[in-house]
Amino acid sequence: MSTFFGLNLALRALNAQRQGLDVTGHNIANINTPGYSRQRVQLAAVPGQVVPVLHSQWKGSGAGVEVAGIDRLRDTFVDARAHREHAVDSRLRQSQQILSQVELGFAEPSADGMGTLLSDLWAAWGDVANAPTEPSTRAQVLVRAETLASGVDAARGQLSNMWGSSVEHLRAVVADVNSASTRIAELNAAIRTMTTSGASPNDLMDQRDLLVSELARSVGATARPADDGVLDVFVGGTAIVRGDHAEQLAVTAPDAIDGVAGAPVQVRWAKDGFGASIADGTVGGLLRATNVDLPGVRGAFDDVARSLVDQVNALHRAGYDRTGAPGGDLFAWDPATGMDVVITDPSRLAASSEPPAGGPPPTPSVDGRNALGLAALASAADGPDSAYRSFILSLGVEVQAVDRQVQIQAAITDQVDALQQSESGVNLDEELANLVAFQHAYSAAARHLTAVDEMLATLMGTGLVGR
Amino acid sequence: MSLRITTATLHRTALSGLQENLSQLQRLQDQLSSGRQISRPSDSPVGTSTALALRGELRATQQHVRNAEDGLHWLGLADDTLTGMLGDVGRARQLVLAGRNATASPTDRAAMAAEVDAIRSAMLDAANASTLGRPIFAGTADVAAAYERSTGAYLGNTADDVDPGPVGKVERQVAAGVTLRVNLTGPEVFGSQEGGARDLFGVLADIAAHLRSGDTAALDADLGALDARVDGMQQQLATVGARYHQVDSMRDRAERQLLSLTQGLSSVEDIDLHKTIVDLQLQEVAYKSALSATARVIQPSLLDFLR
Repeated sequence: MSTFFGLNLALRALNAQRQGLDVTGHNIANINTPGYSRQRVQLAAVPGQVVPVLHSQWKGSGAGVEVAGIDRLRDTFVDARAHREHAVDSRLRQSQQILSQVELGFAEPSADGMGTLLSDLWAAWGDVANAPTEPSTRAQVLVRAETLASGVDAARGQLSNMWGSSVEHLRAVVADVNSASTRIAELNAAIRTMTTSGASPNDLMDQRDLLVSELARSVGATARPADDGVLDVFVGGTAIVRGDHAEQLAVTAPDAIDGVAGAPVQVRWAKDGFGASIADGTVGGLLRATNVDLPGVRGAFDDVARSLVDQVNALHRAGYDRTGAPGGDLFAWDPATGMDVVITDPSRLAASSEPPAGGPPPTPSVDGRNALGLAALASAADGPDSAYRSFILSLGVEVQAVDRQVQIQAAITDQVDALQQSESGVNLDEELANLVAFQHAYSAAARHLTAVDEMLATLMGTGLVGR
Repeated sequence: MSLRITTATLHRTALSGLQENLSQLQRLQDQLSSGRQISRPSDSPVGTSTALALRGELRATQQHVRNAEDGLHWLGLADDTLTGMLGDVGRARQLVLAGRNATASPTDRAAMAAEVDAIRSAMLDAANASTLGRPIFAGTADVAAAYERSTGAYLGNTADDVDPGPVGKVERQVAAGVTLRVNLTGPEVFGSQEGGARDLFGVLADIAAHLRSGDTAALDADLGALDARVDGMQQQLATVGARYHQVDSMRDRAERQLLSLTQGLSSVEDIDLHKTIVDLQLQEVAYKSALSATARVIQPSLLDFLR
């Protein structure tokens, strides 16, 4: 046993406790850092000499304490669950956001929605039925028909715009995903270097895990640990980050919402053009919105508008206008440009249902029965009003269902986050208690050092041996 | 499951609780300031559908009331016109009786004939009564007057209550599926001119001619025809009265329905003010308790107790 064995022992203790203080300080400093996992020193007692030597025997104590490593407290299984739940949560929230906007765009029930525009048109036809010879009532019908047509076109345009901005949002998210995956690959390389050289790259791993969580929220990515601390990230079964190599994603989309039937919006791998199967995450939600939800709503609304145009035109064609000619179409429907009013001359509105009689020349009839028929569409059992109501009802039910799903998923996500926090989060009271413990241990080790120092001083300093 | 609680967990729980409370408060505030409990279809899809249906029906019923009032205007005008004309016809009848008398001199008879002519002109003018530029006795013909002023020829078209077609009928829809006729055509009231038959104006013209010529026998026949026409007019006057009553009661019914529809719409769309105010106050109390609990939980730490 060497003379300065005690000094060494005390020194080891001081070092170890000081490192413990440092790690505790690191935890306290990062208590509010997002994605931080608490770290802990792994202290191990240093044994005395273990291997017996022929002419030497160790009868002393252990040789102090050393820091075997700095542990990072993180549960990869809970992480995997959190990735899954957050991916679903992001998808549902994205769907909810878009569908809510669609629903608000229709402004029902109110005095400004399309239901009121329809009622206004039927009332105007009722006034024409009361006074078929009055030009003012006929002009009113034309004005209200114009208002209705532009209301329909505005709603379709709004859906189109929402689709366009969703595609733009999708492109932005995919660009973010690409830069995140590149960064993860860089971090993997750095972490591998540090691990193979024996260091603890805990904070780099925290940064990497934060980026992986972001990827999980964006595209529903999953992660699998590989050798040397490297994390491989997978999207839809294909690796987006493998080791220090990252793949890129790209978005292909048609120009307008009408093109979705032939060429759906897709996210593809940049390297080979194959589609990436992304069902969750913000991207999953946006893909669902641009390929299914928005075109579905627009298709249903188009059906309502088309049936309105058909029903009005059928009744209008059966009547006769002020000049005695048979009424033509009042509205025109084009899938690209929407609804238009074809008639501009108020006297061409077919209010009468009786052809011109008497003469020659035959004089037009001024009965208002055709106008009455058009006004009665307001109460028709399968008329345009009823079709529009069904459309709004199914839209409301769809949004309500998504709202409920979001609420349920939010509760599940919160629970998983709490589990994650429970494992990796920093508790201030715990760290302060640890601080006190390490501080006392340091003070005690310092005291030990002082004691040994005094002993040696007694031995070498104040004694008379060797003077 | 025993969970290790961290500072971040406490923060997050506190914040999410406060958020929950605030979003409830905001919802109640929204309801109170707009006065409506359904602000979007997803709040209550079935309620929205009901509200839309009620609004549509409300609008249609308002139109029915307008239609009924317009119809009452037509019927009222016909009623007034016919009542006036019946008075005039009475005077003409007196003149015929006087003219039949053998004591009447040609001068007297000429004077009577002139008066009958004047009565005929006045009645032709009355028969051309119009509203908003449309003559009320012309049916659905596009003419400026029902009767030609000089000849007394009928210019409009004829109607037949048996025939379901729209010719000659002015109709008003006063309820869903209920359409009532609100006019009478000239031939229905004053007699047909078809096939050489004499209507009221034809009889009056003949009376004037026969007074001038002093043809007593013809005057007797004219008297009979005149009485027949007067009966016809009185019958039609009764019909007008009955129709007026019918349209009036339909209008009353529509107005009552407006009231019940408005109440129904309000019960679906509008908030119960008292309940919402009480809910708001309860929510405020809940919010304050959450704030107080948060303050108590996130403040103390071990630092307060270490020397």
